Amino acid sequence: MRFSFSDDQTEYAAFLADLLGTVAGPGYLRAAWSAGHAYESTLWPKLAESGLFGVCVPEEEGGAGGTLVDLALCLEACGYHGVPEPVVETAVLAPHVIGEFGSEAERKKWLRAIAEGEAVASASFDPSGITPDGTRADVVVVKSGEELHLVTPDRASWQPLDGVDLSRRLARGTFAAGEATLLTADPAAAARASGLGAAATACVLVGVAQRLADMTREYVIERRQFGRALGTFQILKHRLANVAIQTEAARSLAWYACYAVAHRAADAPLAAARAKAAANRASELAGSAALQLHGGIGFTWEHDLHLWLQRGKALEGAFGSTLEHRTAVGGMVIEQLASPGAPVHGIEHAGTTR
Amino acid sequence: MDLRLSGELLSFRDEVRTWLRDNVPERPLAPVTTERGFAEHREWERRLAAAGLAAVHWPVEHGGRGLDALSASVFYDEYVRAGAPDRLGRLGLGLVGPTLMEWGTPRQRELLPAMLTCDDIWCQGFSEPDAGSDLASLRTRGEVGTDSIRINGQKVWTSHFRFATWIFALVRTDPEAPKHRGISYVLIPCDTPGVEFRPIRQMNDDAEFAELFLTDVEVPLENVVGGLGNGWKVAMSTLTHERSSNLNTAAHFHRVLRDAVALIPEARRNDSLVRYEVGRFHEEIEAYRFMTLRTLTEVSKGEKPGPQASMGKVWWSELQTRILEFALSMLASEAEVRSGGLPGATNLFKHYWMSRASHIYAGSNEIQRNIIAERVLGLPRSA
Ligand SMILES: Cc1cc2nc3c(=O)[nH]c(=O)nc-3n(C[C@H](O)[C@H](O)[C@H](O)COP(=O)(O)OP(=O)(O)OC[C@H]3O[C@@H](n4cnc5c(N)ncnc54)[C@H](O)[C@@H]3O)c2cc1C
Repeated sequence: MRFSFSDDQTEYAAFLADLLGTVAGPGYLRAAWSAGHAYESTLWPKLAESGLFGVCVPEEEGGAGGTLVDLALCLEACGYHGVPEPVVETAVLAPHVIGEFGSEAERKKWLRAIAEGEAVASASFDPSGITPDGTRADVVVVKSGEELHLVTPDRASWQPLDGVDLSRRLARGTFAAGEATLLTADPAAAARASGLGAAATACVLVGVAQRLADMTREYVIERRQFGRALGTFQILKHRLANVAIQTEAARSLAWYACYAVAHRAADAPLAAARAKAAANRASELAGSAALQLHGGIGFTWEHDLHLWLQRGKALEGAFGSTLEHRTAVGGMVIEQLASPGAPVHGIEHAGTTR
Repeated sequence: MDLRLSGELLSFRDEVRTWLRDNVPERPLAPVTTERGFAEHREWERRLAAAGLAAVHWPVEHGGRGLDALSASVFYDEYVRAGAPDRLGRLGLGLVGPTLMEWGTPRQRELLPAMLTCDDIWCQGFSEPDAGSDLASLRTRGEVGTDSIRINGQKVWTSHFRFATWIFALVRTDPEAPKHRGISYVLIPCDTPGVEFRPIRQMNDDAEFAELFLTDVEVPLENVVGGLGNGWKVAMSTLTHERSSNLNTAAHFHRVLRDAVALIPEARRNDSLVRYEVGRFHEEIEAYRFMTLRTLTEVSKGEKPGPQASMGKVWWSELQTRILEFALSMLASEAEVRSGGLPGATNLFKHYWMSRASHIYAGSNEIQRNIIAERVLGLPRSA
């Protein structure tokens, strides 16, 4: 039993993080913000070259035949470095869904192209039809009710929208979904795809929370008021400690969610929901501490903080809010525990841990 | 990442599961604070020891199984799930035992076997009236003679004193040395003349702790652990063990949650607020499980534990209190009744208060957060 990543996984993520540290980051992100919908990604070919998009593509289609576990740390790095490209959609959702449910022709058409970075994929899982990179995507995995569809631009019409995070290049799609686009009508398959999206996005959000926490940590060490560093004030320390605790909790759940989803564990839906809810909380706590502890400078456009704050807010809603996930998990737990015949034991063992 | 148990661990788990199924008493034992309860618990501990299960993570030479941290966690998971009795010799098993393995002389290590059979019960004499969180300011004096040490002072909040035979205590042996350097870690037999416990009744009416008066208590110098003036270092290794108690497994908190869920009135099971809360508790328990598993993996691989290793105590103590607060709110007025008529809800407040105590002991949660901020995040010290 080993709840950690292999050397290969760790080294690959470190390589990717290094790369992102030089080619992505605040400057790159600002360019993406300014260009808005007109933006041309210069990062995409580098991500493709790094092999990121092929990790979950089967080997016979030119990929590495890996799983979400291989990507967990990479996704965190993407969040940490603020990568605006649709990595969750292209590297995780599309390969899994097309790989499993696509026709022979669809698999041939898309998987290799995805692995090589020639196709940009997105996903539209929200009933609102709101989709990141909608207008840019060559192919979109659409969840419609409990069905999964594969939609190409000729079957979609897009209305570009400005989101809180302009680098996400949102668009609202209306799809001519039908027989021709249907991948599967199996509700379990749709649920599994939602789980993939939630688990992968949880990893990205952990990276976002970590970035916000790190920026704030550095700021309170440097900034002085009342003749001392802000970081010596205990109330600020404790606030950052709480952020760190929630972030480690979320990270631990995100890792397990990737494992559970990859291995189709019985508790995979629960694991993905828990991970996304905890990652949302980490991003919320980190974001509100970051904004507060930076004081006025954090409220400016000029300071980089808001790039991650707005990304965090955008992703907190994607693939399920905290409210949605916790309520669903609670419902499942109550049904499981309160079913007739479940024993009543009394809380006699609570609190006796000393 | 591979969460399957190895074949070896699976058969160990099965052995433990079978043994527990055949041996765990059907009815709960009497409370450990009573004579009868103490005897029953000791009887149970001896059965565990005879089966080689008293301290699976201790080395074989000291009566353990020599299992690594991961395997030990498999044992405790099973133990908690089986609803087995509370461990009697926790301070010996979990705190002073491992400390003696690390720092003790061969003579001192001879004390280990009696911890397993609970022939000796240990209590912790660290806190003083004026030295709580600021433990290093402790004032209990130890005057060092040629071959003995004479101790005078007062300790307080000493738990498990009632049946204790030994105290592990911190005393100041060099008042001239800097605060942290003049302290020694001393083992004191409770029957030494001058040792006096005065029970203090706890606010939750449960187990008691005590004031401990030490008046001209003389113990041989060989009872000093880790050398004179080295007590702070030795104590730090004890406190590390204290904060990572084996019994606080996710399985324990899942049981607490299960019991709380059983108190939800039928009509409120679909209430989305209730579901939200239960969902949150479940998420937080699992987060604890996987934070712990990360640490266990790191320890088993001989790596330095990551940041999450310093966060468990704050997390579980506050999580458990939230679950109990939820349970109280489900019972509403019924919760007020001490000998509550509802099954599973007897004296809920008593447990609730006990869970609050865990925010104070073993390094208060404020101190824990200071440690996380300063040692994990590297923020500057406050003054
Ligand atoms: C049920 C129970 C059992 C116990 N059993 C034992 C035992 O067996 N042996 C033993 O030696 N001790 C035992 N203790 C004592 C326990 O370790 C102390 O109570 C604890 O260390 C706090 O010390 P104190 O009570 O003096 O509180 P104080 O240190 O006075 O603290 C009071 C409050 O101030 C806060 N505070 C203090 N310093 C700081 C700071 N620097 N920053 C922020 N906040 C701060 C604390 O967190 C706390 O909330 C037990 C306590 C309890 C409640």
